[in-house]
Amino acid sequence: MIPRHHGGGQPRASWRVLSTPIGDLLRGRITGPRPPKHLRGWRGVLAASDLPEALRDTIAAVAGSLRLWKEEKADVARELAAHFADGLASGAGADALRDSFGDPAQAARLITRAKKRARPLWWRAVRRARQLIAAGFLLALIAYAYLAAQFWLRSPTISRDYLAELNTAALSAPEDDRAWPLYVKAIIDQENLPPRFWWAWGDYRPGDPQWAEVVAYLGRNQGMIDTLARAAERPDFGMPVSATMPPDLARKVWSRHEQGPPPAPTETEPGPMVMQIVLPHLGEMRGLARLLREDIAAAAAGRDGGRVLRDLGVLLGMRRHLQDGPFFITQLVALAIGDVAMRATDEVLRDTPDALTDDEWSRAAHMLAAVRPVVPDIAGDRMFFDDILQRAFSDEGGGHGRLTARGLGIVDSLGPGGGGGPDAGDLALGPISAAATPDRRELSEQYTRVMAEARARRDLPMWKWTVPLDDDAGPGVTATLLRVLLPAVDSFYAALQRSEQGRDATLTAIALELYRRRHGDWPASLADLIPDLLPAVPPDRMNGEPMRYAVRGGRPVLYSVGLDRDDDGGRVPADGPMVNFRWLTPAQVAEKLATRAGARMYEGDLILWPPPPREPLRESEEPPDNGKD
Amino acid sequence: MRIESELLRGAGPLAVLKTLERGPRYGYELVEALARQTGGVLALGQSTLYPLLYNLEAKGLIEADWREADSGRERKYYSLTKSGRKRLARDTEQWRLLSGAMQALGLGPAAAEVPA
Repeated sequence: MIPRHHGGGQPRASWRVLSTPIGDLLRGRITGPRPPKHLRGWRGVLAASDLPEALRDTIAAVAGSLRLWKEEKADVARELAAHFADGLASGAGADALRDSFGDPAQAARLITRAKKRARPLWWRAVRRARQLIAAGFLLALIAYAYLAAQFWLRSPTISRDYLAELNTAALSAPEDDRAWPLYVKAIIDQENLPPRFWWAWGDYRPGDPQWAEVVAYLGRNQGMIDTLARAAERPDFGMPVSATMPPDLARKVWSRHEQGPPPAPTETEPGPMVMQIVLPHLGEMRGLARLLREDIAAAAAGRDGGRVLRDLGVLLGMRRHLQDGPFFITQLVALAIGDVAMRATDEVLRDTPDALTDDEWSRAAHMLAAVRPVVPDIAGDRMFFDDILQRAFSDEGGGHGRLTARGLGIVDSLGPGGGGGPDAGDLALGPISAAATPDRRELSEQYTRVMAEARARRDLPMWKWTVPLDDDAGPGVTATLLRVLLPAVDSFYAALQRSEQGRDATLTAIALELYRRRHGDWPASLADLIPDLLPAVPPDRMNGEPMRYAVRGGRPVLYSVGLDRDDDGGRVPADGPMVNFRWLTPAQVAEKLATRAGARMYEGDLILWPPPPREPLRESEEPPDNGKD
Repeated sequence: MRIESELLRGAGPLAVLKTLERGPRYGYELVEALARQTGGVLALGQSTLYPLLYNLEAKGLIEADWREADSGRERKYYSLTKSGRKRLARDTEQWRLLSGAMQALGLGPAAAEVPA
C-alpha cells in the first residue's frame, strides 16, 4: 500500500524517517520486514501500478533520471502514475499519452531543478556553502599552482663574496702586526681549566677555600699570559673570519669537551656563507678575560703592581682588538671585556689600593682613559643580512626578488633548532611562505630604515633618551626573517652607556685614591680633583648632571641618582643594590612604582663605586652540568 | 500553431494560477482545462506542466495535497495559497496592461483567432 501523506512537495518527516536506518528498525520491529529493493521507492510505485508498458517506461525514464531524494522520486512517480491513470480513464490511448508527455530527459532535468528549489532552507544553505567551499578550494588550488611554479622555478644569483669583503682589512695587515696568531698560541698553551672551577671562574678571591689552587693554576699559566701581553700590544687583530677554525685551535677547543667536535657543515652553497662563519675567538677571549680577572686579584693580593698593570693592559688590548667588529656581537664582547678590566680595577682599589704605587695608579688611569670609545658598527651585520638575501632570494633586477626553494632551507636554518633542512610540510607550504615574505628590496629597505631609526634615537647620551628600550623591530617590520636578523640595537647602546659610566667611575675612583695619598684625606667634592687628577667631573648618565659623590664611614662613594632620578645621598634601594639594571624612562619608573609590588628596587641610588662586597665562596662546589668553559 | 517557449514562459505560470482560481485541480485535469479553455494554444506537455507546478509550489504560490478520489485512485490536488492569490491579482493586472499595449501597437488578436 502506498502511504498517504499531505503536501506533495515535501514528504512529511514521518514518511522520510521510514527511508532511514531508523525506518528499517521500525519496520523490523513494528510494521514487519522491509520490502525488497525492486519494490521500494519509485520502482515500488511502478510495481504497484497497472499502467501499460509504454507509460511505465516513460515514468521510469523520468524517475530514473531525477537527481533527488528517494522520497521525492517516489512522489513524482506517484503523481505521473496518477496522471496517466487519469488520462487512460478519460479515454486517451497509452501511446497518445506517452507522446503528449514530451521529452522525459528534459522533464527530469526541470523537475529536479524545481524540486530542489522547494527543499528546506537548511539544505539550500548547506548546498550553497559547499559550492562556495568548492569554488574557494578551486581558486586556492589555482593560486597555489601558480605560486608553486614561481617558487620552484626561481633561483638565487650570488654576485658578491661578502666573506672576502669582511676579511679585506684583516688580511691586509702585515703579518707582524697581527695579534690573532699570538692569541691562538696563548689559547693552545693555556692549561685546561679544571672543570671544578668552571662555575665560578673569574669570581674566586683571596679568602675562598679554593684560592690556593687557583693561584697555583695561575702560576702555571704566567707564560701564556706573557704571550697574551705581546698579542695585546700588536696594532691589528688580524683574524680572518671563516666557516672553520684553524685545526690546532679546533683541537684545543674540543679537547675541553667530552662530546667532541660537531660534524663539519654540509657544503650546500657555493662558497661559505657569512652565516656559516664561526667566531671561536669570542668565547675564548671571554674565558681569557675571566682568567685575567683572577690573575689581577692574585697580583694585587701579592702587592705586584706591575703584574696588575700587565693584566690590565691585556684586557684593554683585547677590547681594542674586538671593538672594531666586524659584528655587533664582537663589539658587545669587547665591551664586556672592557667591563672586566674596570671591575677588576675597582676591586683592587677597594680591597688592596696599596698594591699599586702612585705612579702605577697614574699609569692605570692613563691606560683606562686612553680606551677608544666603541663606535657601533653594523657593517658586518649588514653583510650577514645581505648575504642571506642574495642566497635565499631571486634577483629580478632593481634589488627586487622573491624567496626561492633553496632560500627556504636557509631561512629554516635561522629558526629555532637551527635547521636540518625544511621538512615535507615546509616545502609544501613553501610557495605560500614565499608569497607571504616581502620582496627582497622591501626587506633591505626595512632593514636600513629600522637601523637608522634605532641609531637616531640612541646615538645620544643616555640622559637624552626619551623612548623606552625596545629591541623589537617595530610595527613597520612585517617579515619574521627580518625580526630574526635585526641586531638588538637598543640593548647594545644600553650596554655601551653602562660601560662608559663604569669607566668614568673607575677613573674617578683612581683620582680619589691618588688625592687621598697626596692630601691625607678624601676631597670635599669631586671638583677638587680637577684639573690635576681628573679633566672634568664625569656626567651621571641618568640625568646628565655631575656624578654624585659622598663620604660614608670614612670611605668615598660614587653614585648615580638611579632610575628614579632622585638624589638619595648614595642610599641604595631598600631591596638592595641594583646590578645590571635596564634603563627605563621616568614615566616607566613612575608606572612601576605606582602599580607593582616590590617596585622599591627602582627607588634609591645606583652605586658606581665601590663595588658591592661579596661573601666568600663555600668549601665544596660540584661542577654543574652546564658549567661555563 | 505552437507558441514559442520564450512567450510561454511568462504566460504559463499565470495561466496555471488563473486555472486554479476556481478551486483545486489535479495534474491531468489542469492539462485538459488549459488545452480546452485556450483552444489548444496553451496545451502544455506534462514535461512542462509538472516542473511548472513544482516551481510554483516551491515559491509558495500553490500547495499540493494527496487525496483519494471517488474512483479509489489517489490524485495530487493543487490549490492557490494566499500568496498565490495575491500574485495572480498582480500578474493579471500587468498582463492586462501588456495586452492593451500590444493591442495599441496593432498586435491585438483578430476575432477569428480568439479561442472559443
